Amino acid sequence: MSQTHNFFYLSLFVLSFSIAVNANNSVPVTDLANDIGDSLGASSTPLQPKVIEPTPQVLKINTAQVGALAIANTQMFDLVETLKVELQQLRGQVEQLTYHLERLKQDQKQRYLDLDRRIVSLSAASAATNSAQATPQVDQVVNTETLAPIAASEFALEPTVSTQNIYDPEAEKTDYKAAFTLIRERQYDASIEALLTFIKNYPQGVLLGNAHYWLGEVYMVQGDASLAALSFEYVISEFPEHRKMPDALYKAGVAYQNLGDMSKANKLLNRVLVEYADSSAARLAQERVN
Amino acid sequence: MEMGNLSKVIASGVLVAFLGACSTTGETTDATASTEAALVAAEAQALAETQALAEAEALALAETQALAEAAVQAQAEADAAEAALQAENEAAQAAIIAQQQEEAEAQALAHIIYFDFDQSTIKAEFRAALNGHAAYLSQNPSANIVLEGHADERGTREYNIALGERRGNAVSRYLVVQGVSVDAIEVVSFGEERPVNAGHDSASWAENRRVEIRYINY
Amino acid sequence: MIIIKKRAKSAQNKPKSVFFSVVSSAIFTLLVSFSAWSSDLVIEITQGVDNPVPIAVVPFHWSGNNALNEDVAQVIDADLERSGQFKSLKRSLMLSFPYQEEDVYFRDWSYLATEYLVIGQVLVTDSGGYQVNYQLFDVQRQEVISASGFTGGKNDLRALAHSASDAIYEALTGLKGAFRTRIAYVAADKKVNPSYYKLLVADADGYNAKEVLKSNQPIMSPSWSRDATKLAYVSFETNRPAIYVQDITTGQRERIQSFKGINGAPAWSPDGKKLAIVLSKDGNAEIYVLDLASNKLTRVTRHYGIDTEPSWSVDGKHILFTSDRGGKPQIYQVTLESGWVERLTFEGDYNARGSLTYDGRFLVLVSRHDSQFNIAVQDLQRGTMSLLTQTSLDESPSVAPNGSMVIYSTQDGGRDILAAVSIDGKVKFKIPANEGVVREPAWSPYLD
Repeated sequence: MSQTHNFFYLSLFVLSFSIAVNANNSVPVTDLANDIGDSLGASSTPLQPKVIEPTPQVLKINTAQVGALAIANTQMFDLVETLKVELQQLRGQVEQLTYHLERLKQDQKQRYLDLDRRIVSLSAASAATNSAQATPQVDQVVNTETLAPIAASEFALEPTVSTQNIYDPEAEKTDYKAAFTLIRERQYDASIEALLTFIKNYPQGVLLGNAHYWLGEVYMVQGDASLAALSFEYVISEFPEHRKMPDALYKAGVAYQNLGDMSKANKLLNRVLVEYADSSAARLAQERVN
Repeated sequence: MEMGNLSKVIASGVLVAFLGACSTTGETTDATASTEAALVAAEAQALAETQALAEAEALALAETQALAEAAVQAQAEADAAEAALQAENEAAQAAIIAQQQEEAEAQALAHIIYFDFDQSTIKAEFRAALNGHAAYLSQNPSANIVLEGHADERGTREYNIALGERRGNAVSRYLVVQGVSVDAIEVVSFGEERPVNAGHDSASWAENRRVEIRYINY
Repeated sequence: MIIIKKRAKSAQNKPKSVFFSVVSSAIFTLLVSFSAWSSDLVIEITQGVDNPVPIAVVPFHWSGNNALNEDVAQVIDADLERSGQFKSLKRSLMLSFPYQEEDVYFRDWSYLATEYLVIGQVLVTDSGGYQVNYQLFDVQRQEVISASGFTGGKNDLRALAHSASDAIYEALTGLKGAFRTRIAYVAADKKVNPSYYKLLVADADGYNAKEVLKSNQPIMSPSWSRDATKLAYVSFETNRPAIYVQDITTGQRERIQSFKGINGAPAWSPDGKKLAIVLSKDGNAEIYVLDLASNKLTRVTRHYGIDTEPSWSVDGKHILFTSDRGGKPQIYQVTLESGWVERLTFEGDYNARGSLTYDGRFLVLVSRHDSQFNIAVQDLQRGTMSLLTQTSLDESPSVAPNGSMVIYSTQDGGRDILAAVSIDGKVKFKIPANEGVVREPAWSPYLD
């Protein structure tokens, strides 16, 4: 008898549990649904039936019941699914390849145009600078350099510069050479004037750093260490990537030594030793630093 | 008892005879001789009667005894039968419970299918369970199921809704290939909105990438 | 309670008058605590630009008898700081409180290293509403850059302050401001009983959060109509997903055509007449366009893979969507007239939920790198993709109508929160909720 009692309570429990579960699933919905769905005239589905959770009567794992046809179908099903995935991946690869190909084509075109421009500008530049090949030498200057290569290479890197109307690199080079000639001929006052005019006329020029450097050199020669220091400092602060940086640093150090400001001088000389250890200026700085 | 009765009978017979003898004091010897004979006859008759009575009593006694014995035996048999029935009942209950447990286990195994990340391929370990469901559904045309598809929390929400549905569809198609009618299956996806595990590590995510099979009618 | 917490501390100079600072800080705290009651979201600025512009917003003058229930200057302050590009001067340090041009001593402000000054006042209009007037000064040049006034009803004081912020921001950055906009988002709490999901709409600064829908089943994918009056969203209240369109002002809503299977990811067209939606009634998730007036449904994608998360191009002629037809989710674009599909994303193995900025220049999306899901932006002109976030489970990005900020959903300490990042990645702020979680934000268009 107790077993039937147990059964009864069990079924009661199950029933009440399922009721409780369903109660949770029902939601207060405002202003719905079927009426509007129907009036819109399309196939809108009605509210879904509440899901009951009964126990199936017989549910045993019985693989013997899987017939031969089902096995064949399953194999086909698996094959189709695999093919779908493979197809999607292949499609993805094709998309990627097409995209990269397009990009490559565009890149090639860009590079070709860029090279073309460079060649054109290079040939124009070399034609202009064929005449001026002399390397300027000044006795007190540490290292020598050639004008033409700087101008040509810098010119090539900035092809757009040549197309500007306001800035004329040819004129700049001419004026620079003129000023430099004055220095070589030891006409220091005239050269200072020329350099200052040059700096005024070509504020964006590629040779601006050089001009300031040489200005400093001339001031040093004339014994005006403070003006020299100013010029060299200008190069150091405004043209930190300039070729003449180590020299400018060294020369500024020398200028400050002449002025008696040893701490500043040493700072600059040490910078040469640390930052430009391989340069010829570093050797000279080594001798000077104390 | 019988002896007691017998002795009483004898005693009363003797008494009757004595009284008869004493009461008739003025009678002649002939009269006494016939009354003596009558008396003897009466005695014998009484004796026979009492003997018969005793025999009848004894017989009745034996009968009741036999009856009682039979009753007890019948009672015993009935008890035995009831006990046997009870045992049978218990056995039947136990069998049903065992079956339900088996079903419960079977159902727990078959209920949820798990998937790998971003995949909707049905792994081999779940196919046996699905075959079982398919067998049941094809044998019981009134049975209906809902396949609820889910995904873990990684990725965007709407994409995960579609991913959950893709998983549900994979299970549905597998069942149909095994012979289940398309109308018996509905696929719903909840994406990442109904996780069973709210954790943020691989183990929790693995529990959430699933399709649940729910029976509406069975 | 709205709290602006900044990581970078400003270096301020010493105040001149103790009296002023005491009084003004008392007023300030009073006003802040009063206005703290209405908001549900807290904004925490976690990163700003390297050199934010110092600006001072003087408390707006109000000559009425009773106190205003909003501090206009504080709303403007908070707006400008939230853009990450400005650093506000604290009231306790202000030396004077002018509200008219003739009372401005520029020396007071340049002393405190302030570059721009905002002064203004609040007046009552004839109809009983408010008018907010402001003037924006360049302290160095000592001249007015911008001045204007905005009028509104009794309850529009915050909105008027936001209008002033928009104008000030535009005058100083050249970009149209997006302070007078709204955000819609989903909030949920499963730890309370009964657990709930809510769809809420708040101002872009987190204030005035209002409930649009409450349910104990999930709500997803809110999407604003172009006139900012309606929200389309997905609700599971019938235990099946369905798309609803709800008018925020009237509260009325209707369920659009629903089909068996998925109904999801609604997206309004630029002309406001159509909804792009996802349906799986034809076998798998595909994109359809529903014309709201005629109720006509047009199918847009045809592929056995997943096609979902539609969003519209600026001219309404293309739809961007997420598809795994190439093996993994990527973003594609379909031309509606021809049906031609082309792929847009080629970096990374999971790119989804793409949407364009309103000028069509950038594509904002969710991208997976090194198993982390981040918000990324792809420059459509150059084709380069850059990541905007470094957290690991970011999703649901939504762009502000001026294209400056992206609001999105992420996780912080295991909880879902909202966060925002500027389109150049420099400005960041977090918006956690007080209780439960917040997710799926949608930034409204301009409220005009």
